[in-house]
Amino acid sequence: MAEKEYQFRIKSAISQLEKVRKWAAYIARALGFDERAVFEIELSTYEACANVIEHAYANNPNNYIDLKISVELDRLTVTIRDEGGAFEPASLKEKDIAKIIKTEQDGGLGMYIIEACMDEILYRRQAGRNILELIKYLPRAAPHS
Amino acid sequence: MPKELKINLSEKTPDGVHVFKVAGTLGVEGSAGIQGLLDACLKEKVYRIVLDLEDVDLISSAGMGAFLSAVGELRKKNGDIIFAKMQDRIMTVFRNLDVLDYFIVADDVAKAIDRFRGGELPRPLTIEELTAGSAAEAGAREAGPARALFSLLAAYADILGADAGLDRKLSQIVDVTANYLALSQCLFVPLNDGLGLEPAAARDAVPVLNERDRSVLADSLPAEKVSAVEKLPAIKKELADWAAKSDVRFLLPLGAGQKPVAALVVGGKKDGSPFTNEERRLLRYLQTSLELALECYLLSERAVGEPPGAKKKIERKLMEMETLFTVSRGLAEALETEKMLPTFLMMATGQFSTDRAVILLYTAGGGFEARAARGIDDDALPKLALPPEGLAELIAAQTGPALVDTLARTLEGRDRRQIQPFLDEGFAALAPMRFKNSLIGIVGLGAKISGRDFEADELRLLGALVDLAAVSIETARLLEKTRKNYAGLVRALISAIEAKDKFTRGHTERVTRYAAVLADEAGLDEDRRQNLLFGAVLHDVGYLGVPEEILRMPDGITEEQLAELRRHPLIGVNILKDIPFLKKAADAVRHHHENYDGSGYPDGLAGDDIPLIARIVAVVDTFDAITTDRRYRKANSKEEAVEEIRKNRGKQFDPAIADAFIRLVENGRLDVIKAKRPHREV
Repeated sequence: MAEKEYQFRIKSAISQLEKVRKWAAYIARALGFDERAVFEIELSTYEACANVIEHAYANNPNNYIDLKISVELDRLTVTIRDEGGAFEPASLKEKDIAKIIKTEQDGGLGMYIIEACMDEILYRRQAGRNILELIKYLPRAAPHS
Repeated sequence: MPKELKINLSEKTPDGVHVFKVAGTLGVEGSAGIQGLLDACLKEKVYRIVLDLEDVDLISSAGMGAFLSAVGELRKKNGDIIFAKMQDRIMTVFRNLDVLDYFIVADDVAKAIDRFRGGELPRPLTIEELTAGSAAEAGAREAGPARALFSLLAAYADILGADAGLDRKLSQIVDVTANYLALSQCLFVPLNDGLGLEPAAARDAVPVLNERDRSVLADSLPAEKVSAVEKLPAIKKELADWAAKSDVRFLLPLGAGQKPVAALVVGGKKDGSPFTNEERRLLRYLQTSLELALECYLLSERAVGEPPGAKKKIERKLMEMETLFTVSRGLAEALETEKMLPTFLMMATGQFSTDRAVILLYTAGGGFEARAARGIDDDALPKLALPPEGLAELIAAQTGPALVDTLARTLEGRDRRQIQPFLDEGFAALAPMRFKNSLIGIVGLGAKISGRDFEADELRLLGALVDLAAVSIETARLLEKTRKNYAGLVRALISAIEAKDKFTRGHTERVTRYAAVLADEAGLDEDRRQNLLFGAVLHDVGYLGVPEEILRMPDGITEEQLAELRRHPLIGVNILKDIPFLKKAADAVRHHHENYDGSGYPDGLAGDDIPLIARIVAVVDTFDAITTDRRYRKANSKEEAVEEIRKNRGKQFDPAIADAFIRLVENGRLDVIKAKRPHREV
């Protein structure tokens, strides 16, 4: 059970991204993350939403993205849900920055940023929705193995 | 509304360096703008670009993508992009993406421009170097041998953990090692035909050994770890000749169980220099890693042709083994013993399906104390401490991890009692952690959750894991020692200040202790805590530059003298400016007289613009000043000090920090630190 939950719904438009990241940063800061972690959460949430807008919704601004930040004992989880096209699983695998640079595919870069900033990433497709969960452990709590 | 991206040409030097000031968000919103700028520069043949990013609050993958694609083009034209004045948060993006070695970053615009004239910033890596996977190595080499070693260990872990055949892994490892140590040669020799492997060589390797030589080698290899050739006790003559002729320095027997199934032949350094201790340590680590890789390989070979049940078991074991590479990767990344120990325990408990584990480390006092634990109450930890004789001796005498029950049966009389706490706390195995033949620690592992006993091969695996941890811990200690040397420098500075003014004697020490307690209360992360403590210790270092007669003034100094006195933060920063290690701590030195409402000095910063560590030092500094004797008055009470801080919360002090501090004082938490308390941090 989540101890606390914060929800937020945005239209799938680039102009909404600023609001999203301020929201995520505000909550993360209030939870006591240090500034670096706050920024990592902010940036990851931003990247994930930008991905959805650009890829899942193909830049059509008339859809919605549902965001949730939940806090449990040892972790913060940002959940991003959308009803757009399915995620390309290959983009979850690309981890080699040198390869990304060489082939200049910036699609992989966004995912790479999220991976570098968060502790865990979970993706599932459920009932026609993409559900992406980005997890960061709270300061001083060790992740469960 | 999202901030518009603004780009202005702020400077153009006679030699064609263009400085652009960028403000706003370099995300999906701004990437088109920056892309446009860079395209235009290329078109106009402007190849030397400095981007002042002071007012950029975010760079996303889109922005980074634009930089990455432009910088390649610019470098082809002998140009570059140099980034100046990045905020910490922007630095985080570069750091997390691991592209700091790829781009050039400068503190300020002047330095950035200088870079184009062959200034002092480090050379960026080429894309080829980055692709060859040597980025971490090359960058780290400059940052000191220990750090470089870690990046090499991480490289091993990556190679071993990759999804590739053993042949390929071995040749990569041999290659990386030979490269790193600049070896004349390095050769992997399978000694057992059943391995079905080809020898893998790097550099101008000796002619591959024939079968007879290989069997001689197999017979000559001792059971111990890394062996310098000249120290091999009874080396066969043929082998000795071969070793001498071919400049072989080390033979690493690779056991994968008990009997060596392969050996790593390590040649001399290309430049003929001797091996350092760190390099020998690296060989030891390499040996353990290779043994694990071989064991995985043999297990998977065995799985072929086994009945499904047995096969499944082997495959499960194999999967477990592979997570070991994750362990070594994790250790290599932790870099500090304080972070490494919990990482290790987390992985070990997961690996062996137990809920508890402990690491005891050798202490200056001669015994072993629990330094990290998982699944055990803090209260129980002191009971697990061991004196150097008795159980610790027995563990030291074991070849590898031993079962607690077995150890208990061996011990007699008084020594028997030492093992009781381990039995009480549900420990099943104890493993010696050795480094260079001396016992540096003991790892205890709890009974399995399933209730099953540890099997022999699991104990062996635990032994390998503990070996990895031992090397990592020793390497981390090396790093910490460097840091301690800085601490020595810091102490010297303190004595210099205190020699000048007897009233500051003890002041810095108390302020540092108060800051430490407050840091713990506020839950500062380790980096910031460290910077805060250094900052607290050094906050008054600038007094060194203030004339003594002003410091000694009994009372009532003139305006002019006051102005002189108030220069001490800036003087302090100047004293510390060349010590990279204290760069962040210098924030506290510069800003500890800033007031929260902006009325302080030297920069008149307000609110959150004052670095956090400086806001903390401001509170504890004032508290100590009020509660101790000054040259012109006697000490006031704690209550009076609290009243003063409360009165000034939100004016002089950050209200949150003032409140937290007052809470500490009122709960009596600061009284404790008047008692002598070891102060390990600095």
